[in-house]
Amino acid sequence: MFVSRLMLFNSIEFLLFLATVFILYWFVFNKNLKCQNLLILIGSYFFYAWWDYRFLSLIFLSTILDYVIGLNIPKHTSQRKQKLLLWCSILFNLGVLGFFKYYNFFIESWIDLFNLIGYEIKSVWTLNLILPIGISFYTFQTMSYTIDVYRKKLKPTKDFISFAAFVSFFPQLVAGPIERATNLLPQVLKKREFNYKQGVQGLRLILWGMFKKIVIADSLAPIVNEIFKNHQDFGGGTIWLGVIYFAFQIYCDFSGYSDIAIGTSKIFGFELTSNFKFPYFSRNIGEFWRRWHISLSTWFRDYLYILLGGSKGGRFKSVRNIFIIFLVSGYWHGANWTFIFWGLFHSILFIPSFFFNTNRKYLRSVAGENRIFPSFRELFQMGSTFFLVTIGWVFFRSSDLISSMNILIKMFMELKSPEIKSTGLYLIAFLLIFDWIFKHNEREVLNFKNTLLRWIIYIFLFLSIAYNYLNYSIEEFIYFQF
Amino acid sequence: MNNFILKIFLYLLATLFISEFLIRIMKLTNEVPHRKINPIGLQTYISNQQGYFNNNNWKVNDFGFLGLSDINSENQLMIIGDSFIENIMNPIECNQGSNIKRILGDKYGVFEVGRSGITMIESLEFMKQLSPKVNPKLVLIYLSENDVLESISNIKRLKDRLQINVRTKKIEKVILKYPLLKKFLYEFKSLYYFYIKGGFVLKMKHENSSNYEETNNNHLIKSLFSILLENYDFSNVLFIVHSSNKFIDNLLDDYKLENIKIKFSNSNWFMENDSHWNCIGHRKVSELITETIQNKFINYNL
Repeated sequence: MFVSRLMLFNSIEFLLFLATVFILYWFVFNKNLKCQNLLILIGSYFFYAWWDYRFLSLIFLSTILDYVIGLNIPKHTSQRKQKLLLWCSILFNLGVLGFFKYYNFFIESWIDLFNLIGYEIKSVWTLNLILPIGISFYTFQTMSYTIDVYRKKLKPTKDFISFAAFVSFFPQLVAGPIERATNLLPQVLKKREFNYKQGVQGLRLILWGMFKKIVIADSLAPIVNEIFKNHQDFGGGTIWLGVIYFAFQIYCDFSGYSDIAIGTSKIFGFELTSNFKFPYFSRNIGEFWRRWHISLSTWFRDYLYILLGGSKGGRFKSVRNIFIIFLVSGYWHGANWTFIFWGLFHSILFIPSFFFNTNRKYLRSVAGENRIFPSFRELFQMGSTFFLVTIGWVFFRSSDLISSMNILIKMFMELKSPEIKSTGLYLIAFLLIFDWIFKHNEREVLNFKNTLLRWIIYIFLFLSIAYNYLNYSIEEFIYFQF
Repeated sequence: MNNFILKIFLYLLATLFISEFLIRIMKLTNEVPHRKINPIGLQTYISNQQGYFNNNNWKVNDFGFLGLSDINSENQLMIIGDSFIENIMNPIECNQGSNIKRILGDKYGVFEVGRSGITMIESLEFMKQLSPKVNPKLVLIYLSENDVLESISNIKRLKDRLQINVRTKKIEKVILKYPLLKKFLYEFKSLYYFYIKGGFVLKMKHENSSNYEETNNNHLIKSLFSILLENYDFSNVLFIVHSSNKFIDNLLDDYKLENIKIKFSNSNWFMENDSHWNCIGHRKVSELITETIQNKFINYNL
């Protein structure tokens, strides 16, 4: 099994790797930027090769191609030639992504379609493909570079090592945040000094991310797996509990990963874009999508929605574009109709707020702004948004559409009190309290003013992580499969 | 940077200190007795240590073992074996000795020589060295396949086990393995906890855990048995064989070494997450063998 050899953030291997790279980075190569970038590149390739060295060639090819195309786009004065180069980059990256991730899905869907209309076809065309880990993330990252160079938002770099380090930067290589070249590349090219405040902030994020992943997400995972696997054996109440648990499992799993990635980058002097901003405190679906997997939703907004015309071409075109964005976003998560339905479901939730102009209502404020508790109105808004998002998770988590439908039917038609212990709710309550305290700034988690309290919490979190790590099974990050 | 490193260090120190405190208070680790090599070159525990394991208290007796220590009884039994006989994971009431004594009655005295990792040759050495003090009428030696294989240094040299080189017929010297590291780990409970829970294990390639190849060892085992027959008195020895290796089973019969072969069929006999017998297993095994023991005492007028 290849996946079992992955260097997970929540493993001793990664801790040793991180400590080694940190020492070399700040104590050996601290005076030479080129050496630091080379170290990042070698470290990142080593990190990836730990899983499977063969797929390094894909990253390397993608890096070389986008580097060369990036350098050549400004050299051509003709718009046509520039466009041609851009399309070469897009086609290569999407081609690789499409082949490894979607090839079998396409073939199987065609076979299913032909079978449906009476032509029996055997699946001789399907291939036994391994999905290269992180491919959905780094292909989008390199594409953003060539598109930004084409749009003249960014000057191409001649420094190949730095560019390759940008593409393969290990903290965010396998599950994001999907970095824009405009944000990360200038940081790679600039001399970095160690900053105490940034370093401490980074460690806090790593600690909080680990807690979310190892203590909360991994504790909920076995219950969720059991309920979704054997949903036919459970009543509606238990399934509701399972779906709510999954809502928090995926949040803690993915935002935990993002926190560790952002925190790790910080201790090396980099600032990555935020990926989560307490999405379950959103008051409508529009706000939810500005707080959930931000790096992906803004990527689609900037590189696809705007390319399609955004909201400038009238109501019909705007609605069409919204549908496309959500469907593509769902499809990005995996080659399964459940993800496409999940995207479709969210587009249906989003359209009304688009029509009533409420989708951009809470652009800057957060629920409970300047108050300890939210108002009743906010509570209702947050509750109803969470309810709708949770329904969506049924499609996301189910193995197929029929299972999703069966689960939904049970949730609404067979309501019974839960048959399993609801101890996971205590963990969720703990998470929500901490998230609520730091809801104004996702980078400042655990930054309690009282030093003693802060240290007690640090130690408590560390011990909880260690206890869970040593006593329970450790799950892979969910987003590694996308 | 210095301040940053210092704070990390202080944080880890504080965490370690608190985890040590919590682990001790909550008894999250088991305590393991320290070992020594006694004057005759055999490994025993240091006498009069006390501790707990799976919430059961244990105490090392004056002879350096954990079990019963009756001596010079009219109906004296000596029981020798590995971790199954040591039985640190269960209360002493579940030991083979306690069960046998309960079934046979108080007129029987039981002396238990149990130590994890004991080899067959070491069991016989213990028998030889302790018999003058204990005066057993009957010696029960619990034997598993590993106890036999690990006796032979030609198969694999294990420096912390008493072994014999079957070619030179010389007993190999025993040394304690990493005594300082073990002492440090046993004392430093948070690190020990981390260690026993596999926290230091890297998820590298999976290695084949089997130490021995079944083939090609048979002639060495045969040589071992020949040496043992020349050097030890088996007249009052009863082997209790509790793992199956047909070659060893046949060899015991061929050399007319008295033995009882125990077949395991019930998983209720074993502890959860542990291959040792639980209290039920110990009781069942002792019930299976006491009749033979009783008959031996009656028939041979021991």
